[in-house]
Amino acid sequence: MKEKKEPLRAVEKISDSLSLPQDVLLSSTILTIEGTSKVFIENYKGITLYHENKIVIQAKHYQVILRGKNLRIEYFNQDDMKICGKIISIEFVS
Amino acid sequence: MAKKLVKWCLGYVKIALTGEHTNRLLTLLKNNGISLWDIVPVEHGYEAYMYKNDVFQIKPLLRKTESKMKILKKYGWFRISFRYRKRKPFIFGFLLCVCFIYYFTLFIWDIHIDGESNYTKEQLITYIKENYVDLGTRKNEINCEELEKELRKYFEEIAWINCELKGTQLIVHIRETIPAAETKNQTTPGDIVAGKDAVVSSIITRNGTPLIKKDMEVKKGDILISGTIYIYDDYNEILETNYVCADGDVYGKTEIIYDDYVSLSHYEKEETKEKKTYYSISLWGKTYTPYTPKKNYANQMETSEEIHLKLGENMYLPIFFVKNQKIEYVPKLVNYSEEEAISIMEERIQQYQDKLIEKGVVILENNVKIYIENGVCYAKGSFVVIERIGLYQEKTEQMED
Repeated sequence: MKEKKEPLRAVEKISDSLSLPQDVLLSSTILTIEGTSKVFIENYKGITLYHENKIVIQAKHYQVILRGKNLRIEYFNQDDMKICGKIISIEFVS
Repeated sequence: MAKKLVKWCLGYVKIALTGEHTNRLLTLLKNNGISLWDIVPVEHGYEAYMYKNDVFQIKPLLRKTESKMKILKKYGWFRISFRYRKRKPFIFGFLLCVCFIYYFTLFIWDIHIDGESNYTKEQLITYIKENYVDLGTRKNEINCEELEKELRKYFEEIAWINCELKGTQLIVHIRETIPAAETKNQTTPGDIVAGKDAVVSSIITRNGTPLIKKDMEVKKGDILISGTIYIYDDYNEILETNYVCADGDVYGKTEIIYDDYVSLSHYEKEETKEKKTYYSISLWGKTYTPYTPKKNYANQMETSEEIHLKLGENMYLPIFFVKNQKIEYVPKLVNYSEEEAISIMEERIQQYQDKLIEKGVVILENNVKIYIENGVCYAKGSFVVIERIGLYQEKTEQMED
């Protein structure tokens, strides 16, 4: 596990020293949350599960689990997606 | 709204995705750059919307994930074009109509005048049509400034004029007054001369040399304010002569003659119930009347009512529908009592006075007398008024000499 983390730190250091956004170098997933009803997700890999109460999004190194009520994917395309509904929790699972 | 319009133009469909690996299908769709929106989980899959063109790209992905897709509903322009694929002449006609309307809007199809009082609409419209802009003239050939100059030159009592093009309509706004000494737009040196015989009541000079004083009697054509300015030296000899545009307000006491009459017995047209109606259509200046009644009444009056076809407020088209009527009447001799005739005459005089006041004229005396003689009610006399008498006149070489 430690061996895997080291290259990440190096990239992080480079991005910090060059003042570059991390999502460009690390392909980090960006979550923009508007209150408890809207979530915009960028840089995601795929949709693993889609239910009214639970949506699982696959990111590069982890999964994002959204729990809530009446969850609905308003749209998705190659770059981003928008999820609406009553969001109760957001979890990150490696 | 713009997004909806784009979607409608591109065309989109509502689909139902079913199968065991629909989540994987969603991931594959994302990776292949296929957009979906309003995705709703339903039993055994999802319902969503996608662009029409993406439907063909999705098929290999459906095979890979062993999923099925069903198109539930189609939306957009392509659906309408498909529905009317057997009605090509209709579509062609519709497009032709749009092209014709666009072509018509490049021309002037109506002339509107407002603000006239002494001149009539017909008088102004006829002059414009005959000398400058006839109906059917291209809009880009019309020079509003030139038209304004032309009209101001021909109709001397127009004090202010503005022409504008709105849609397919030429609108001419005018204001009429007694000829005013307008020097704002003058560039050629000139004088202010008397427009009529008068006794000067007041004079204000803004530019030039005043040649008259208050209470002086002037004749039509006399110079009131000269545009020539002499500069004298210490020995009272002319050192320099400058020519300027004379400017000022000159008011004078004048007399306006009033003469009118009303016959006590006259004929009035009493309409009978007999009338014949027929219709015409006028296209591009040519009138077609499919049916004209041949029989004429012994006493008849003809009326016509034009309906000018237009789109919106100012987008007139070269199409008129005309309703013509031949109405029979019986001439009937009507006699006014002397009181009635006098009251009609008083009303006319009052209207004339109101018109004068509207033009900025101050009425000092009303010397009009009403009397009845040989079955005719006459109103004769004059009004003594104070009005603007100055009129701008450009200098000619002879005048300067």
